[in-house]
Amino acid sequence: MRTYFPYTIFPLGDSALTVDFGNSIDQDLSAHVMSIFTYIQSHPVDGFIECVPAYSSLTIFYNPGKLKNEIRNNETISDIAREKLEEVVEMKNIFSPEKPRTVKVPVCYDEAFAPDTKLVLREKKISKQELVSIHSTVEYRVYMLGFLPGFAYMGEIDAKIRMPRKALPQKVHAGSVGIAGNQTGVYPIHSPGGWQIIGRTPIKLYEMIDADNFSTFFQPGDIVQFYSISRDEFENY
Amino acid sequence: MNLKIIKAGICDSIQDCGRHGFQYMGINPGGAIDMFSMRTVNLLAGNAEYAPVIEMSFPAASIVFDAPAIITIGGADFSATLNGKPMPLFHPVKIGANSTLKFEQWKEGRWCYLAVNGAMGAEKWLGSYSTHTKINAGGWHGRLLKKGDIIPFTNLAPVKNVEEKKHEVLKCKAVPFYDDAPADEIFVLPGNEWDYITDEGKRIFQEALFSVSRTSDRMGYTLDGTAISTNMRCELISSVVDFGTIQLLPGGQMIVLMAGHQTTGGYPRIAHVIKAHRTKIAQLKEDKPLRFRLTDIQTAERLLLKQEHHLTILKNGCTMMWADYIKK
Repeated sequence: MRTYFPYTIFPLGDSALTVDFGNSIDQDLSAHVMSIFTYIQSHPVDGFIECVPAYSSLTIFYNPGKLKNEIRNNETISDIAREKLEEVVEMKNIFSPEKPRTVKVPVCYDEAFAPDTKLVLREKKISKQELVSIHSTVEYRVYMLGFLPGFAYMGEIDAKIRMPRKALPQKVHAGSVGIAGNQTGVYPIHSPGGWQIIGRTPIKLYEMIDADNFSTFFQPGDIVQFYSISRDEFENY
Repeated sequence: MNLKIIKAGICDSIQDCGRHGFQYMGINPGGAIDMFSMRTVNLLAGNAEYAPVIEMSFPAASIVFDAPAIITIGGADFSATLNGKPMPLFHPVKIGANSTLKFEQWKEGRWCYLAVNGAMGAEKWLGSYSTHTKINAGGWHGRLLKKGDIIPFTNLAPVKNVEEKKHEVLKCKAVPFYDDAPADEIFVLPGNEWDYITDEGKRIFQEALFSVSRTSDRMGYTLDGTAISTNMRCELISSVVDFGTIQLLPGGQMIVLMAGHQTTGGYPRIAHVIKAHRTKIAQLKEDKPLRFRLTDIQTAERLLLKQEHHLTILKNGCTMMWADYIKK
């Protein structure tokens, strides 16, 4: 197992910086990104507004007006933010993954909920049973949340059922389970979407607890196991 | 005092400085698309700089105020009228009960802001009044404003000596903010995928004129103009994007992400509009071509601090003026 992750830091405009660990989907990398994210969340850095983890990178948004008071010599505000970020990344660059949580997610693969299953079966020359079995056998990792509140990007899909995104996004029902490339994900709300829809879960993917609290069903780092349920089980879930 | 929408606009919503700290859950920050105008109208109306305002595009709503109030509009020029008479931008105005605010004609800009002195009785969600239409939270029931909506305001500064359906423009106004750049120039910093573009693409990016397309909205402005060609066909893994990020679509078209952007994206980020020029690009209409100019971080930060300084001076002036007003 690796213990050090080489990285680069690049500016995302003039009020954010991204630490990039390489353009790849990798469980160790993702766990490392999450360990830095968790550390920053519990040890807020003065002048940072928020921190957002992605597959193999982490972005911090900073407040230039606040950080300008720390400028020495010919430094820019961006330099100050970079120094603060480097300090955290270097300190946390000793790999200590947290134990992942496993979540089980019921999915009804009935064609009534799966407008794109026919196309997937035709393109991949497999039966519906095979599709369901392949999609629900693999354990997926949640790499990040993004796109919509509570939308989890999970990987990796078995090569036997990999499909490209749709050319044009279509209306997608809340709870829809989609696949695209080597990723799979579930739409938390009605939305336009470009992934191929092969089923639907009855689970609610977020909760509006009160005006100050919001929680999502999936969290980055989770191990996800889908299991097939019937139409009846879906309706009575 | 209540504000009543008597005719709906097409995209009017309550916004403030946005919702921060929740992007890791996929919740985008949102907020006013022209934050500079939003902050200016708030200060002129005697509010806190980041108080919620009504953001309007054209056609905008028609609004009636049922009691005396102090209001300010600013940003885009939609030929506003108050009680049938032209209403100036960026001036506080004392209005009598049952005053009507209308927007007659689209002249300049894209987004007009209305600040009403007092505390808006809207919904705060995750620290912000900005309307999150996808999840229907924040602002006014998490949706665009529609006909019949009645928004209450409390804690108003006293408004004396103004008759019903009449108004009085107060003497104070904001001095317009000029930056060093020509009006059609948008300064950008190179993005991490800048070198995905061919040399010819880089030349076109810096020399050609582009215009904001009609299909643009709060999420993003798609640009009409010459396509930008790329060198590489490497698939990028999704990562974080920001307001001002310029993404290059597979066909060579550019999209500038705006206040309502999603948290992540997978297209090459070829450049980023500098923070000080967000207000400028936000207000560009289709008929106003723009040119990108590459700049450096030093210039970007200098322009941002200059803009902030301008707002600080305005804030100090307004604080003094409103303290005087209350004494009288």
